[in-house]
Amino acid sequence: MTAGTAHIGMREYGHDAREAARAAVMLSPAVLFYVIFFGVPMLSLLVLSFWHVEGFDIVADFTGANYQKIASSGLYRDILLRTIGLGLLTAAITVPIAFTLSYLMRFVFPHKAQFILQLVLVSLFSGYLVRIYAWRTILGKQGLLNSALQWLGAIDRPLEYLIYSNFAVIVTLTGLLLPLAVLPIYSSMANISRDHIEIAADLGSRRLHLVRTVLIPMALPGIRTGFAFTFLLAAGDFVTPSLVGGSQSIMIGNVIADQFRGTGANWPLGAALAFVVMAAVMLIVIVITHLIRRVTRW
Amino acid sequence: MIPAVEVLDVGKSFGPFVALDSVNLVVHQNEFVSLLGASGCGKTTLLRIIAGFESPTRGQVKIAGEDVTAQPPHTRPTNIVFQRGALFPHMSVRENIGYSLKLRKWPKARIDEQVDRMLALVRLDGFGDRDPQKLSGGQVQRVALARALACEPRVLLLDEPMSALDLKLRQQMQLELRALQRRLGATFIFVTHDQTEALVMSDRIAVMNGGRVAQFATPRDIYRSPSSVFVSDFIGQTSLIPCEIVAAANGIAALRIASGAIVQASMARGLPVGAKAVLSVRPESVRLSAMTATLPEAALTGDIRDVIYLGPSTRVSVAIHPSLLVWAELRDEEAVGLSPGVKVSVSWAPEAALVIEEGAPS
Repeated sequence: MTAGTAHIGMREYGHDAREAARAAVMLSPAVLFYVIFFGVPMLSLLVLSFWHVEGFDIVADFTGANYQKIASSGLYRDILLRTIGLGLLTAAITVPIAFTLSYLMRFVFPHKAQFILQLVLVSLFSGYLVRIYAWRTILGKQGLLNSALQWLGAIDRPLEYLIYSNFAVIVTLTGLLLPLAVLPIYSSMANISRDHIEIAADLGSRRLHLVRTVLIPMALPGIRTGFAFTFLLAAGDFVTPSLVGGSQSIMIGNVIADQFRGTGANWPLGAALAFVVMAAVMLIVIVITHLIRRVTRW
Repeated sequence: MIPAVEVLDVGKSFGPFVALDSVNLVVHQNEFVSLLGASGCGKTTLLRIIAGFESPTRGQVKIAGEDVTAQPPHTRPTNIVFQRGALFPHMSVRENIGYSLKLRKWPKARIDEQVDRMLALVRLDGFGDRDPQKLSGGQVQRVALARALACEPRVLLLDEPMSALDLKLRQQMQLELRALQRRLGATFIFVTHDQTEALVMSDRIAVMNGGRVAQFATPRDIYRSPSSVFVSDFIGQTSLIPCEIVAAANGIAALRIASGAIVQASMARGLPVGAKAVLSVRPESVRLSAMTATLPEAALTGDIRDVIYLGPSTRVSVAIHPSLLVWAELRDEEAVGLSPGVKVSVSWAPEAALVIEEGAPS
């Protein structure tokens, strides 16, 4: 079944009030789950962000001091901006790769698509930390890449910036997040048939024009989801920068994590930071997806 | 006048599979031509070669006298409509139809004007701002048609554009499409597996079989004078009876069939006496009459097998030989008293039956 027919089914659903009521009843377990396991923790974190720390104790009151501190701190702002920059760069690299891969799977090697999809999924099974360490062995000073380049004679001594740098963070994040971008983009490409591409070509469109006016708009739901996944997860990551990043790769996730552990812990400040990051990141996702739609609007 | 489309000795193989085997086809300007055949006969491949989606393994395609064999689809003066409209779901009806015009950088006002003209042409005035997902199957195909016609192609190619529609709608759209083609004075090449559709709409029909054009002629000629057993069998209903020529004069041949009976049929090609051939007779030409004692010995007789009531007519099969059935299509009053097992004599006017050479190329 295509998404199109499902869509029509949904619309017909809405016409009948009784059907809608039944749908609400059937959805209620999911809603309940969502409220308990997402809504409640988020709300308690929000409340926490207005408390403050005295000595080693958390004091329950209502103060905007945490937010004031964040707003007035140049350090937090710089780290936040860098986080957003790295996240955007990661998404901007990952999404086009995922789009290209999805296109190849859908239209160039359709009979191998299932196999490629399995490979993509297997990489998800192999665990987050394992994959980061795998990248360390590739990018390290005596790693695969440097050794190979040296063996080929392309370089005399190991490239320093391959590891413990922003470059390493972006490469690793791209590698980690690619499957999460491929899955939604590939599935939204199922709506595009060869007929659409041939018709567009027949009417005079080609290459980039075809990509811009037909492929991207028709895969847009998947692209949006893929972009949101990669950007949100990249911007929220703190393990990757601490394992392959350098001194200039500290991301806001590291700062937030530090507020919840160790000696300098400050849960209310961490909570406030988390909400600031969430707001900023959500705003960016909204703006960017809107921009993508604008640029690709026919 | 330069032909609209010339397909010259075109062949196409996909690996070891031969999809087209030396096809020649010349389509005149303003002509409505159908490519008719069962699935796998190569009709869609031929259409896709004319459109430029496939390149032929050998041969040449000319459009309006120009060799376009090496040209990609977007530079050819052809546009195509598929079986399922393939409208762009993210564009309104208006944007779909105007797609090729905007691409050609027409000014906005001219695009709007042309799109309105196209909407009127396919009788969808006022549907411009609709979302393609909210259209019925017939409307989708009309929009697809309007979109293909918007930039005024010399040749419109249609790949079974109505086969996904239900019968009533299909019949209505057949007439509309025919009228539209006459009004536009454009060349249409229409692929279909539905012989009625081809007969209703076409100026000429190319009946295809096994990657070849079996016959290319007007609907009347295809029906009345099929050039081969295949065409005769494929178009309409017919009874095919193996026979041997015993005499011939003035285009009429006397034939002996397996039961020993002697019958007559018209013979376009002069086949020699003694030659084996196939006799083709349409059900509507066959007359049945009750047995009388005065029939000549060589008359054709048989037992009625089945009587099928079809509404306007009744179809009756008669076994003229243990393994040979002749079908007759009778009006209601002619079928009175006919029931399985009844012995009847079978006859037809010689000019209504046709002798076809047995080994005629199919």
